[in-house]
Amino acid sequence: MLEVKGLEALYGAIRVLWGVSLRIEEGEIIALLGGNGAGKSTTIKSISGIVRPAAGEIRFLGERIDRLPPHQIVEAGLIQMPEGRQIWGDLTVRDNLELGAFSARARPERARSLAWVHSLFPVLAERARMRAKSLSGGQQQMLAIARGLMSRPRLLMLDEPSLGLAPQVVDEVFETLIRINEEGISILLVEQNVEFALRIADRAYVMENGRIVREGASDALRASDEIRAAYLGL
Amino acid sequence: MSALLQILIGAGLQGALYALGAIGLSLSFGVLRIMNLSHGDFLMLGGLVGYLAFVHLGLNPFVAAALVGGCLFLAGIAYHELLLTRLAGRSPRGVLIASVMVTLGSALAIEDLTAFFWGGSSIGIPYRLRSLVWGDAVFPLLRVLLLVATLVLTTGLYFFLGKSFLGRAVVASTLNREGALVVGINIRRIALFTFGFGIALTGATGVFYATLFSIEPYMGLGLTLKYLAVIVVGGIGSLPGALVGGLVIATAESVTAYYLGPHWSPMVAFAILVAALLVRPQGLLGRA
Repeated sequence: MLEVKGLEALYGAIRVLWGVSLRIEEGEIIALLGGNGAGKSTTIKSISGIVRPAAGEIRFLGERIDRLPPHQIVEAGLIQMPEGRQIWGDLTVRDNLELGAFSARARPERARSLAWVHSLFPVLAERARMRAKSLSGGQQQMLAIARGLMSRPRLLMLDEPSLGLAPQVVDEVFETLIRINEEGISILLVEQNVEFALRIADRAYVMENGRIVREGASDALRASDEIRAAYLGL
Repeated sequence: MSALLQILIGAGLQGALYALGAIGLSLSFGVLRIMNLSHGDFLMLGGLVGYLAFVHLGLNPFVAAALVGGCLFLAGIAYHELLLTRLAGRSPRGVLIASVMVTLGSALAIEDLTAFFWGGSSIGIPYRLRSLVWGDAVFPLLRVLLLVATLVLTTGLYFFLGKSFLGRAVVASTLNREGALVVGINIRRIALFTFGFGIALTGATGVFYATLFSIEPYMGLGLTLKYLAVIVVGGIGSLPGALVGGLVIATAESVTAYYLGPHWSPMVAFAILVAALLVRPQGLLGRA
Protein backbone atom coordinates (compact mmCIF):
# COMPACT_ATOMS: atom_id res chain seq x y z
CA MET A 1 0.00 0.00 0.00
CA LEU A 2 2.76 2.40 0.99
CA GLU A 3 6.29 1.88 -0.25
CA VAL A 4 9.18 4.11 0.77
CA LYS A 5 12.56 3.50 -0.89
CA GLY A 6 15.80 5.26 -0.12
CA LEU A 7 14.21 8.35 1.42
CA GLU A 8 16.62 11.18 2.11
CA ALA A 9 15.82 14.53 3.63
CA LEU A 10 17.68 17.69 4.57
CA TYR A 11 17.07 20.49 7.00
CA GLY A 12 18.99 23.26 5.31
CA ALA A 13 22.41 21.77 4.72
CA ILE A 14 22.12 19.03 7.33
CA ARG A 15 21.16 15.55 6.20
CA VAL A 16 18.61 14.04 8.59
CA LEU A 17 17.41 10.97 6.73
CA TRP A 18 19.81 8.53 5.15
CA GLY A 19 18.16 6.12 2.76
CA VAL A 20 15.07 5.17 4.80
CA SER A 21 13.03 2.33 3.34
CA LEU A 22 9.84 0.82 4.67
CA ARG A 23 6.59 -0.64 3.47
CA ILE A 24 3.07 -1.00 4.73
CA GLU A 25 0.61 -3.61 3.48
CA GLU A 26 -3.09 -2.90 3.44
CA GLY A 27 -4.76 -3.48 6.79
CA GLU A 28 -1.57 -3.48 8.84
CA ILE A 29 -0.66 -1.47 11.90
CA ILE A 30 3.01 -0.54 11.65
CA ALA A 31 5.03 1.15 14.37
CA LEU A 32 7.97 3.47 13.74
CA LEU A 33 10.07 3.59 16.87
CA GLY A 34 13.18 5.36 18.03
CA GLY A 35 14.46 7.95 20.44
CA ASN A 36 14.29 11.71 20.16
CA GLY A 37 15.89 13.04 17.03
CA ALA A 38 15.99 9.66 15.33
CA GLY A 39 14.16 11.04 12.31
CA LYS A 40 10.72 9.53 12.83
CA SER A 41 8.79 12.78 12.45
CA THR A 42 10.86 13.81 9.47
CA THR A 43 10.05 10.51 7.80
CA ILE A 44 6.32 11.03 8.34
CA LYS A 45 6.46 14.63 7.16
CA SER A 46 8.37 13.58 4.04
CA ILE A 47 5.67 11.05 3.25
CA SER A 48 2.86 13.56 3.76
CA GLY A 49 4.64 16.16 1.64
CA ILE A 50 5.16 18.77 4.31
CA VAL A 51 8.89 18.23 4.00
CA ARG A 52 10.28 17.86 0.51
CA PRO A 53 12.42 14.74 0.11
CA ALA A 54 15.91 15.28 -1.26
CA ALA A 55 16.01 11.81 -2.80
CA GLY A 56 14.11 8.55 -2.83
CA GLU A 57 10.80 7.19 -4.01
CA ILE A 58 7.51 7.06 -2.22
CA ARG A 59 4.62 5.12 -3.68
CA PHE A 60 1.08 5.09 -2.32
CA LEU A 61 -1.41 2.67 -3.85
CA GLY A 62 1.00 2.26 -6.74
CA GLU A 63 1.31 5.96 -7.57
CA ARG A 64 4.42 8.05 -6.90
CA ILE A 65 3.71 10.78 -4.38
CA ASP A 66 7.15 12.00 -3.38
CA ARG A 67 7.02 15.25 -5.35
CA LEU A 68 3.38 16.10 -4.79
CA PRO A 69 2.17 19.03 -2.66
CA PRO A 70 0.55 18.06 0.68
CA HIS A 71 -3.04 18.72 -0.38
CA GLN A 72 -2.82 16.25 -3.25
CA ILE A 73 -1.45 13.57 -0.94
CA VAL A 74 -4.43 14.16 1.34
CA GLU A 75 -6.72 13.73 -1.68
CA ALA A 76 -5.19 10.31 -2.26
CA GLY A 77 -6.24 9.24 1.23
CA LEU A 78 -2.89 9.44 3.01
CA ILE A 79 -3.63 11.39 6.17
CA GLN A 80 -1.27 12.59 8.88
CA MET A 81 -2.08 13.41 12.47
CA PRO A 82 0.88 15.69 13.19
CA GLU A 83 3.07 15.89 16.26
CA GLY A 84 1.58 18.21 18.82
CA ARG A 85 -1.86 17.81 17.24
CA GLN A 86 -1.92 21.23 15.52
CA ILE A 87 -5.63 21.72 16.04
CA TRP A 88 -7.27 25.15 15.87
CA GLY A 89 -7.72 26.13 19.50
CA ASP A 90 -9.76 29.26 18.78
CA LEU A 91 -12.26 27.46 16.58
CA THR A 92 -15.04 25.24 17.91
CA VAL A 93 -14.71 21.47 18.12
CA ARG A 94 -17.27 21.17 15.35
CA ASP A 95 -15.39 23.59 13.09
CA ASN A 96 -12.19 21.63 13.64
CA LEU A 97 -13.94 18.43 12.61
CA GLU A 98 -15.73 19.92 9.63
CA LEU A 99 -12.51 21.40 8.29
CA GLY A 100 -11.07 17.91 8.49
CA ALA A 101 -13.37 17.02 5.61
CA PHE A 102 -12.00 19.82 3.44
CA SER A 103 -10.61 17.67 0.63
CA ALA A 104 -12.74 17.00 -2.43
CA ARG A 105 -12.82 13.30 -1.63
CA ALA A 106 -13.94 13.73 1.97
CA ARG A 107 -16.35 16.63 1.59
CA PRO A 108 -19.37 14.74 0.22
CA GLU A 109 -19.08 12.28 3.12
CA ARG A 110 -18.88 14.99 5.75
CA ALA A 111 -22.13 14.27 7.57
CA ARG A 112 -21.54 10.52 7.61
CA SER A 113 -17.94 10.99 8.82
CA LEU A 114 -19.13 13.33 11.57
CA ALA A 115 -21.63 10.75 12.81
CA TRP A 116 -18.92 8.12 12.79
CA VAL A 117 -16.36 10.12 14.78
CA HIS A 118 -19.09 11.11 17.23
CA SER A 119 -19.77 7.42 17.84
CA LEU A 120 -16.06 6.78 18.40
CA PHE A 121 -15.57 9.85 20.58
CA PRO A 122 -18.86 10.87 22.23
CA VAL A 123 -17.16 13.67 24.15
CA LEU A 124 -16.63 15.53 20.87
CA ALA A 125 -20.36 15.50 20.22
CA GLU A 126 -21.08 16.83 23.71
CA ARG A 127 -18.60 19.67 23.34
CA ALA A 128 -19.27 20.45 19.70
CA ARG A 129 -19.79 24.17 20.23
CA MET A 130 -16.96 24.74 22.67
CA ARG A 131 -13.60 26.19 21.69
CA ALA A 132 -11.11 23.43 21.07
CA LYS A 133 -8.55 24.92 23.42
CA SER A 134 -10.93 24.41 26.35
CA LEU A 135 -10.66 20.63 25.99
CA SER A 136 -8.31 18.58 28.16
CA GLY A 137 -5.10 17.17 26.70
CA GLY A 138 -6.63 13.76 26.14
CA GLN A 139 -9.75 15.22 24.54
CA GLN A 140 -7.64 17.38 22.23
CA GLN A 141 -5.82 14.23 21.18
CA MET A 142 -9.17 12.60 20.39
CA LEU A 143 -10.08 15.70 18.40
CA ALA A 144 -6.86 15.52 16.41
CA ILE A 145 -7.43 11.86 15.58
CA ALA A 146 -11.09 12.50 14.76
CA ARG A 147 -10.12 15.34 12.46
CA GLY A 148 -7.79 12.96 10.66
CA LEU A 149 -10.64 10.46 10.31
CA MET A 150 -12.86 13.17 8.79
CA SER A 151 -10.44 13.21 5.86
CA ARG A 152 -11.48 9.62 5.04
CA PRO A 153 -8.03 8.06 5.31
CA ARG A 154 -7.00 4.85 3.65
CA LEU A 155 -3.76 5.11 5.60
CA LEU A 156 -3.54 7.15 8.79
CA MET A 157 -0.13 8.22 10.07
CA LEU A 158 -0.07 9.30 13.72
CA ASP A 159 2.91 11.19 15.12
CA GLU A 160 3.25 10.56 18.86
CA PRO A 161 -0.45 10.30 19.78
CA SER A 162 0.32 9.30 23.37
CA LEU A 163 2.58 12.27 24.12
CA GLY A 164 1.70 14.02 27.35
CA LEU A 165 -1.31 11.85 28.10
CA ALA A 166 -2.20 10.04 31.33
CA PRO A 167 -1.83 6.24 31.12
CA GLN A 168 -5.53 5.37 31.05
CA VAL A 169 -6.11 7.97 28.33
CA VAL A 170 -3.31 6.35 26.35
CA ASP A 171 -5.19 3.06 26.75
CA GLU A 172 -8.33 4.64 25.29
CA VAL A 173 -6.41 6.10 22.38
CA PHE A 174 -4.86 2.78 21.51
CA GLU A 175 -8.22 0.99 21.85
CA THR A 176 -9.61 3.46 19.34
CA LEU A 177 -6.76 2.86 16.94
CA ILE A 178 -7.50 -0.86 16.99
CA ARG A 179 -11.17 -0.15 16.26
CA ILE A 180 -10.23 2.14 13.39
CA ASN A 181 -7.96 -0.50 11.97
CA GLU A 182 -10.78 -3.04 12.15
CA GLU A 183 -12.82 -0.73 9.92
CA GLY A 184 -10.18 -1.13 7.24
CA ILE A 185 -7.86 1.82 7.83
CA SER A 186 -4.15 1.01 7.79
CA ILE A 187 -2.09 2.73 10.45
CA LEU A 188 1.49 3.98 10.70
CA LEU A 189 2.23 4.82 14.30
CA VAL A 190 5.21 6.90 15.36
CA GLU A 191 5.70 6.41 19.07
CA GLN A 192 8.12 6.82 21.90
CA ASN A 193 5.87 4.65 24.05
CA VAL A 194 7.45 1.45 22.79
CA GLU A 195 5.56 -0.84 25.14
CA PHE A 196 2.15 0.13 23.84
CA ALA A 197 3.15 0.55 20.25
CA LEU A 198 4.48 -3.00 20.05
CA ARG A 199 1.33 -4.30 21.70
CA ILE A 200 -0.96 -3.08 18.93
CA ALA A 201 1.38 -3.11 15.93
CA ASP A 202 1.84 -6.05 13.56
CA ARG A 203 5.35 -5.03 12.58
CA ALA A 204 7.77 -2.32 13.62
CA TYR A 205 10.75 -0.41 12.32
CA VAL A 206 13.33 1.06 14.66
CA MET A 207 15.17 4.23 13.68
CA GLU A 208 18.40 5.72 14.93
CA ASN A 209 20.24 8.77 13.60
CA GLY A 210 18.18 8.97 10.45
CA ARG A 211 18.44 5.30 9.52
CA ILE A 212 16.38 2.17 10.01
CA VAL A 213 18.39 -0.14 12.25
CA ARG A 214 15.92 -2.94 13.02
CA GLU A 215 12.70 -4.21 11.62
CA GLY A 216 10.49 -7.17 12.31
CA ALA A 217 7.29 -8.56 13.73
CA SER A 218 6.41 -6.90 17.02
CA ASP A 219 6.42 -10.16 18.95
CA ALA A 220 9.99 -10.81 17.86
CA LEU A 221 11.08 -7.28 18.78
CA ARG A 222 9.42 -7.38 22.15
CA ALA A 223 11.23 -10.57 22.95
CA SER A 224 14.59 -9.29 21.72
CA ASP A 225 17.02 -8.46 24.51
CA GLU A 226 18.58 -5.66 22.51
CA ILE A 227 15.33 -3.77 22.16
CA ARG A 228 14.34 -4.38 25.71
CA ALA A 229 17.61 -2.97 26.94
CA ALA A 230 17.65 0.03 24.64
CA TYR A 231 14.04 1.13 24.88
CA LEU A 232 12.33 -0.57 27.76
CA GLY A 233 15.14 -0.06 30.22
CA LEU A 234 15.21 -3.72 31.20
CA MET B 1 -22.94 69.35 21.18
CA SER B 2 -23.87 68.82 17.60
CA ALA B 3 -20.34 69.73 16.59
CA LEU B 4 -19.04 66.85 18.67
CA LEU B 5 -21.69 64.57 17.22
CA GLN B 6 -20.68 65.48 13.71
CA ILE B 7 -17.06 64.88 14.60
CA LEU B 8 -17.88 61.44 15.94
CA ILE B 9 -19.92 60.52 12.90
CA GLY B 10 -17.15 61.76 10.66
CA ALA B 11 -14.70 59.72 12.69
CA GLY B 12 -16.99 56.73 12.29
CA LEU B 13 -16.77 56.98 8.52
CA GLN B 14 -13.06 57.63 8.61
CA GLY B 15 -12.54 54.70 10.98
CA ALA B 16 -14.54 52.39 8.75
CA LEU B 17 -12.44 53.49 5.77
CA TYR B 18 -9.26 52.86 7.72
CA ALA B 19 -10.55 49.42 8.64
CA LEU B 20 -11.47 48.55 5.06
CA GLY B 21 -8.05 49.59 3.84
CA ALA B 22 -6.22 47.86 6.68
CA ILE B 23 -7.97 44.49 6.48
CA GLY B 24 -5.97 43.42 3.44
CA LEU B 25 -2.73 44.17 5.24
CA SER B 26 -3.85 42.15 8.26
CA LEU B 27 -4.99 39.19 6.17
CA SER B 28 -1.85 39.02 4.07
CA PHE B 29 0.29 39.06 7.18
CA GLY B 30 -1.91 36.56 8.94
CA VAL B 31 -2.11 34.03 6.12
CA LEU B 32 1.18 34.55 4.32
CA ARG B 33 3.43 36.23 6.88
CA ILE B 34 4.00 38.91 4.25
CA MET B 35 4.27 42.50 5.48
CA ASN B 36 3.18 44.39 2.39
CA LEU B 37 4.51 47.93 2.70
CA SER B 38 3.21 48.78 -0.76
CA HIS B 39 -0.34 48.22 0.46
CA GLY B 40 -1.21 51.93 0.65
CA ASP B 41 0.06 52.43 -2.88
CA PHE B 42 -2.62 50.10 -4.16
CA LEU B 43 -5.15 52.37 -2.52
CA MET B 44 -3.63 55.24 -4.46
CA LEU B 45 -3.69 53.23 -7.70
CA GLY B 46 -7.27 52.19 -7.06
CA GLY B 47 -8.26 55.81 -6.59
CA LEU B 48 -6.44 56.72 -9.78
CA VAL B 49 -8.21 54.07 -11.84
CA GLY B 50 -11.50 55.10 -10.25
CA TYR B 51 -10.85 58.68 -11.26
CA LEU B 52 -10.10 57.63 -14.83
CA ALA B 53 -13.25 55.51 -14.90
CA PHE B 54 -15.26 58.50 -13.74
CA VAL B 55 -13.75 60.91 -16.22
CA HIS B 56 -13.59 58.69 -19.28
CA LEU B 57 -16.42 56.23 -18.69
CA GLY B 58 -18.73 58.32 -16.55
CA LEU B 59 -18.98 55.63 -13.88
CA ASN B 60 -20.15 56.73 -10.44
CA PRO B 61 -17.81 55.87 -7.56
CA PHE B 62 -19.81 52.87 -6.36
CA VAL B 63 -19.72 51.13 -9.72
CA ALA B 64 -16.14 52.21 -10.23
CA ALA B 65 -15.19 50.71 -6.85
CA ALA B 66 -16.57 47.34 -7.92
CA LEU B 67 -14.68 47.56 -11.22
CA VAL B 68 -11.48 48.60 -9.47
CA GLY B 69 -11.95 45.78 -6.98
CA GLY B 70 -12.08 43.25 -9.80
CA CYS B 71 -9.05 44.68 -11.62
CA LEU B 72 -6.93 44.99 -8.53
CA PHE B 73 -7.79 41.44 -7.45
CA LEU B 74 -6.09 40.22 -10.61
CA ALA B 75 -3.32 42.78 -10.27
CA GLY B 76 -2.71 41.65 -6.68
CA ILE B 77 -2.37 38.04 -7.74
CA ALA B 78 -0.01 39.01 -10.56
CA TYR B 79 2.01 41.14 -8.15
CA HIS B 80 2.33 38.23 -5.75
CA GLU B 81 3.33 35.81 -8.49
CA LEU B 82 5.90 38.22 -9.85
CA LEU B 83 7.61 39.30 -6.67
CA LEU B 84 6.50 37.36 -3.64
CA THR B 85 6.01 33.71 -4.57
CA ARG B 86 9.67 32.86 -4.39
CA LEU B 87 9.73 33.85 -0.74
CA ALA B 88 7.51 30.92 0.18
CA GLY B 89 10.26 28.47 1.09
CA ARG B 90 11.84 30.57 3.81
CA SER B 91 11.32 30.57 7.55
CA PRO B 92 8.53 32.88 8.84
CA ARG B 93 11.08 35.39 9.97
CA GLY B 94 12.87 35.20 6.64
CA VAL B 95 9.63 35.76 4.77
CA LEU B 96 8.82 38.77 6.91
CA ILE B 97 12.17 40.48 6.39
CA ALA B 98 12.35 39.69 2.70
CA SER B 99 8.78 40.84 2.08
CA VAL B 100 9.44 44.12 3.87
CA MET B 101 12.38 44.83 1.62
CA VAL B 102 10.72 43.77 -1.61
CA THR B 103 7.48 45.62 -0.97
CA LEU B 104 9.23 48.75 0.27
CA GLY B 105 11.19 48.84 -2.94
CA SER B 106 8.13 48.35 -5.08
CA ALA B 107 6.25 50.99 -3.07
CA LEU B 108 8.90 53.56 -3.93
CA ALA B 109 8.92 52.42 -7.54
CA ILE B 110 5.13 52.63 -7.84
CA GLU B 111 5.06 56.10 -6.32
CA ASP B 112 7.83 57.48 -8.51
CA LEU B 113 6.48 55.93 -11.69
CA THR B 114 3.01 57.26 -10.97
CA ALA B 115 4.37 60.73 -10.28
CA PHE B 116 6.44 60.56 -13.43
CA PHE B 117 3.56 59.65 -15.74
CA TRP B 118 0.81 61.47 -13.95
CA GLY B 119 2.48 64.52 -12.52
CA GLY B 120 2.73 65.17 -8.81
CA SER B 121 -0.59 66.91 -8.37
CA SER B 122 -3.46 65.52 -6.37
CA ILE B 123 -6.74 64.60 -7.99
CA GLY B 124 -10.20 63.95 -6.73
CA ILE B 125 -13.41 62.57 -8.12
CA PRO B 126 -15.86 65.49 -8.29
CA TYR B 127 -18.98 63.48 -7.52
CA ARG B 128 -21.53 65.23 -5.39
CA LEU B 129 -24.90 64.26 -4.02
CA ARG B 130 -27.28 66.39 -2.00
CA SER B 131 -27.07 66.77 1.76
CA LEU B 132 -29.47 65.55 4.40
CA VAL B 133 -30.42 68.00 7.11
CA TRP B 134 -31.57 66.81 10.51
CA GLY B 135 -32.06 69.47 13.18
CA ASP B 136 -28.91 71.53 12.94
CA ALA B 137 -26.71 68.64 11.77
CA VAL B 138 -25.85 68.32 8.09
CA PHE B 139 -25.08 64.92 6.56
CA PRO B 140 -23.83 64.75 3.01
CA LEU B 141 -25.70 61.89 1.37
CA LEU B 142 -22.53 60.73 -0.29
CA ARG B 143 -20.79 60.20 3.01
CA VAL B 144 -23.74 58.37 4.41
CA LEU B 145 -23.85 56.03 1.40
CA LEU B 146 -20.13 55.40 1.62
CA LEU B 147 -20.45 54.61 5.29
CA VAL B 148 -23.23 52.16 4.54
CA ALA B 149 -21.20 50.59 1.72
CA THR B 150 -18.20 50.25 4.01
CA LEU B 151 -20.25 48.65 6.76
CA VAL B 152 -21.89 46.27 4.29
CA LEU B 153 -18.48 45.20 2.98
CA THR B 154 -17.02 44.67 6.43
CA THR B 155 -20.07 42.78 7.67
CA GLY B 156 -20.11 40.68 4.51
CA LEU B 157 -16.46 39.84 4.99
CA TYR B 158 -17.05 38.98 8.63
CA PHE B 159 -19.78 36.51 7.73
CA PHE B 160 -17.78 35.09 4.87
CA LEU B 161 -14.83 34.36 7.12
CA GLY B 162 -16.97 33.07 9.95
CA LYS B 163 -19.64 31.05 8.19
CA SER B 164 -18.56 29.90 4.77
CA PHE B 165 -16.40 26.83 4.38
CA LEU B 166 -13.80 28.65 2.30
CA GLY B 167 -13.77 31.54 4.73
CA ARG B 168 -13.12 29.25 7.66
CA ALA B 169 -10.33 27.61 5.69
CA VAL B 170 -8.71 31.03 5.31
CA VAL B 171 -9.01 31.69 9.05
CA ALA B 172 -7.69 28.20 9.84
CA SER B 173 -4.67 28.79 7.61
CA THR B 174 -3.93 31.92 9.64
CA LEU B 175 -4.25 30.18 12.96
CA ASN B 176 -2.25 27.04 12.28
CA ARG B 177 -0.54 26.47 9.01
CA GLU B 178 0.48 22.86 9.62
CA GLY B 179 -3.07 22.00 10.67
CA ALA B 180 -4.32 23.45 7.42
CA LEU B 181 -1.81 21.39 5.43
CA VAL B 182 -2.78 18.08 7.03
CA VAL B 183 -6.48 18.46 6.22
CA GLY B 184 -5.69 19.09 2.58
CA ILE B 185 -6.18 22.84 2.33
CA ASN B 186 -4.29 24.13 -0.69
CA ILE B 187 -2.44 26.82 1.21
CA ARG B 188 -0.85 28.26 -1.89
CA ARG B 189 -4.16 28.87 -3.57
CA ILE B 190 -5.77 30.23 -0.42
CA ALA B 191 -2.81 32.52 0.14
CA LEU B 192 -3.01 33.87 -3.40
CA PHE B 193 -6.75 34.42 -3.14
CA THR B 194 -6.41 36.18 0.22
CA PHE B 195 -3.62 38.42 -1.01
CA GLY B 196 -5.50 39.39 -4.17
CA PHE B 197 -8.63 40.01 -2.16
CA GLY B 198 -6.81 42.28 0.28
CA ILE B 199 -5.42 44.35 -2.58
CA ALA B 200 -8.87 44.50 -4.21
CA LEU B 201 -10.44 45.76 -1.01
CA THR B 202 -7.83 48.44 -0.60
CA GLY B 203 -8.21 49.53 -4.22
CA ALA B 204 -11.96 49.91 -3.76
CA THR B 205 -11.29 51.97 -0.64
CA GLY B 206 -9.06 54.13 -2.80
CA VAL B 207 -12.02 55.04 -4.99
CA PHE B 208 -13.91 56.17 -1.89
CA TYR B 209 -10.85 58.15 -0.82
CA ALA B 210 -10.67 59.87 -4.19
CA THR B 211 -14.32 60.84 -3.85
CA LEU B 212 -14.23 62.06 -0.28
CA PHE B 213 -10.75 63.51 -0.13
CA SER B 214 -8.05 63.39 -2.81
CA ILE B 215 -5.34 61.11 -4.16
CA GLU B 216 -1.73 62.03 -4.75
CA PRO B 217 1.15 59.79 -5.84
CA TYR B 218 3.17 59.88 -2.65
CA MET B 219 0.41 59.15 -0.16
CA GLY B 220 0.98 55.39 -0.10
CA LEU B 221 3.71 54.83 2.45
CA GLY B 222 2.29 57.20 5.05
CA LEU B 223 -1.05 55.46 4.71
CA THR B 224 0.51 52.02 5.05
CA LEU B 225 2.17 53.05 8.29
CA LYS B 226 -1.16 54.31 9.57
CA TYR B 227 -2.76 50.97 8.65
CA LEU B 228 -0.02 49.26 10.57
CA ALA B 229 -1.08 51.29 13.60
CA VAL B 230 -4.71 50.28 12.99
CA ILE B 231 -4.01 46.56 12.90
CA VAL B 232 -1.58 46.60 15.80
CA VAL B 233 -4.12 48.43 17.97
CA GLY B 234 -6.93 46.14 16.92
CA GLY B 235 -4.93 42.93 16.87
CA ILE B 236 -3.28 41.39 13.82
CA GLY B 237 -5.42 38.79 12.10
CA SER B 238 -8.63 39.95 13.72
CA LEU B 239 -11.29 41.38 11.45
CA PRO B 240 -13.37 43.04 14.19
CA GLY B 241 -10.03 44.23 15.52
CA ALA B 242 -9.35 46.15 12.31
CA LEU B 243 -12.70 47.88 12.73
CA VAL B 244 -12.03 48.70 16.37
CA GLY B 245 -8.51 49.89 15.59
CA GLY B 246 -9.77 52.04 12.76
CA LEU B 247 -12.41 53.66 14.94
CA VAL B 248 -10.00 54.27 17.81
CA ILE B 249 -7.45 55.98 15.61
CA ALA B 250 -9.97 57.94 13.56
CA THR B 251 -11.74 59.20 16.68
CA ALA B 252 -8.45 60.15 18.33
CA GLU B 253 -7.40 62.01 15.19
CA SER B 254 -10.68 63.89 14.88
CA VAL B 255 -10.84 64.86 18.52
CA THR B 256 -7.20 65.99 18.48
CA ALA B 257 -7.78 68.04 15.33
CA TYR B 258 -10.81 69.72 16.89
CA TYR B 259 -9.30 70.56 20.26
CA LEU B 260 -5.60 70.97 19.46
CA GLY B 261 -5.57 71.87 15.80
CA PRO B 262 -5.37 69.90 12.54
CA HIS B 263 -1.59 69.89 12.34
CA TRP B 264 -1.45 67.59 15.37
CA SER B 265 -3.59 64.79 14.01
CA PRO B 266 -1.04 62.99 11.75
CA MET B 267 1.05 62.31 14.82
CA VAL B 268 -1.82 60.75 16.74
CA ALA B 269 -1.78 57.42 14.92
CA PHE B 270 1.88 56.89 15.70
CA ALA B 271 1.54 57.96 19.31
CA ILE B 272 -1.20 55.37 19.69
CA LEU B 273 0.93 52.76 17.89
CA VAL B 274 3.81 53.30 20.29
CA ALA B 275 1.48 53.22 23.28
CA ALA B 276 -0.13 49.99 22.02
CA LEU B 277 3.23 48.30 21.54
CA LEU B 278 4.25 49.27 25.04
CA VAL B 279 1.04 48.42 26.82
CA ARG B 280 -0.70 45.67 24.83
CA PRO B 281 1.23 44.48 21.78
CA GLN B 282 -1.25 41.79 20.80
CA GLY B 283 -3.88 44.46 20.27
CA LEU B 284 -7.33 44.88 21.78
CA LEU B 285 -8.85 41.84 20.09
CA GLY B 286 -5.81 39.92 18.99
CA ARG B 287 -4.60 36.58 20.25
CA ALA B 288 -1.75 36.69 22.75
